[in-house]
Amino acid sequence: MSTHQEIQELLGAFALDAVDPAEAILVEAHLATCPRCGNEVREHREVASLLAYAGTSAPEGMWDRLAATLEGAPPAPAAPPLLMRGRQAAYELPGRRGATIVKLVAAAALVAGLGAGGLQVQRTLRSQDDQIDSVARALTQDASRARLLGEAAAAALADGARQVHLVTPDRQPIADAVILASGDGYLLDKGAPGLPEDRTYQLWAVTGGQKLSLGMPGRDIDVLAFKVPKDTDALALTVEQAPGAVTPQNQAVGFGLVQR
Amino acid sequence: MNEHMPNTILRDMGDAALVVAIGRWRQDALAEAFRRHAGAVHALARRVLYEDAAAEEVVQEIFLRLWNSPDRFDPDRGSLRSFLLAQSHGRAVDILRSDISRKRREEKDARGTAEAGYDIEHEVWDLAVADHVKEAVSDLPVDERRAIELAYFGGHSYREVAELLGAPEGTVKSRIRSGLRRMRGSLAAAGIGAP
Repeated sequence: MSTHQEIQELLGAFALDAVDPAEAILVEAHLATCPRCGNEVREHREVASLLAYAGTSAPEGMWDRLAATLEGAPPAPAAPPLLMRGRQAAYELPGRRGATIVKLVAAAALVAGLGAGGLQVQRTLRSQDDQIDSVARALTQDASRARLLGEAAAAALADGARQVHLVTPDRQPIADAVILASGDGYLLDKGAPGLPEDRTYQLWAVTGGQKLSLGMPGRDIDVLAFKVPKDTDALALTVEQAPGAVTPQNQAVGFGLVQR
Repeated sequence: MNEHMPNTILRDMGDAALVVAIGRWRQDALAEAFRRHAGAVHALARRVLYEDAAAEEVVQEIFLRLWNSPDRFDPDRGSLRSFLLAQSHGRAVDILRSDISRKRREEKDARGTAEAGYDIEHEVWDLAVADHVKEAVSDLPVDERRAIELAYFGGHSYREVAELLGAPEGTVKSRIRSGLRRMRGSLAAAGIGAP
């Protein structure tokens, strides 16, 4: 396991997206528990944002094209359930509840200078059911998620650990995996879209043409622990009907070769 | 869908309040955030990807993410501009590193070298802070500046930067970090910088 100092040395490169996926996992896991390093990354990114600023506007027409996609796409399926419900409620009351709340929140934020507090106000406006859902989810998920992320970070640095980059058919990253010499592995999200409620991602080991189910990350990949057979050639990711399938029913949405 | 607030109110709002409004499906608030920051988001994606269409895709994706998941922005952890630019940079680098972009990247590297590119002194244009940022950049030791240029605008990992510069990986890691810290110090002394 890396020392605090070793992680610190990576923070500048991490802030500029200039570390390897395994190192990124390691740093992210560390940042979850180290506010000091989190603050340093934030500072590096603020400096980078000054370098990036071009002082120009976006090219003409770009906003219109974006606005057109918004009109055609009410609440996105990928949005978290908590947010979806709040948003849908706003849709059902166009120009009334939503608008009033915005004015109240905006006024509060402006008058009190509480830009940062604005989001908190927004959260409290959500229904009690939403809040209870959110707390229950957080309590049950956070502990195991933190443990898995820690294990994944340690795995990424272990001797003989193999990295697998799963990409979509059009070669976009969708998930990363790390596999230890023991066959224990961890799958981490790399931009996989959220799925509808009746679907789940399913991870498969491809061995000599056979596909063996390794587990169901669920509607969002986030992080998943699994174990692969020794002769695994590749990892494949499919979208299946929840709660999962015995054999893959659909084409892979992600695929990555395992180096032997 | 949207009841529009007068532009003057939106324009007076801080970024955090704008994001609250975006969380309530206020398209005019998203438009204001776009007006403030899309130019920088686009310029950075364009600088990394060297391609207009791909840069526009990144801009669209970043602002759609803000529209769909405004809760991901935490004002306690930095400015909205920095948040959007970090997302834009991460996405652009992902695209650059995907196989499909390798050829484009090789072309870009060749072009960048031919133009003596990655020169951040010529990339900074903000009228209010440009002079100070340029000064902070030009005050950097050349090794630190090159490492940051190649990583940030070139989209290279520090290992690739080490190879490009013929320097040890550990040294490049340190140069990037110390260069960023040095710039932060210079900018803070000039009254500019992160909140």
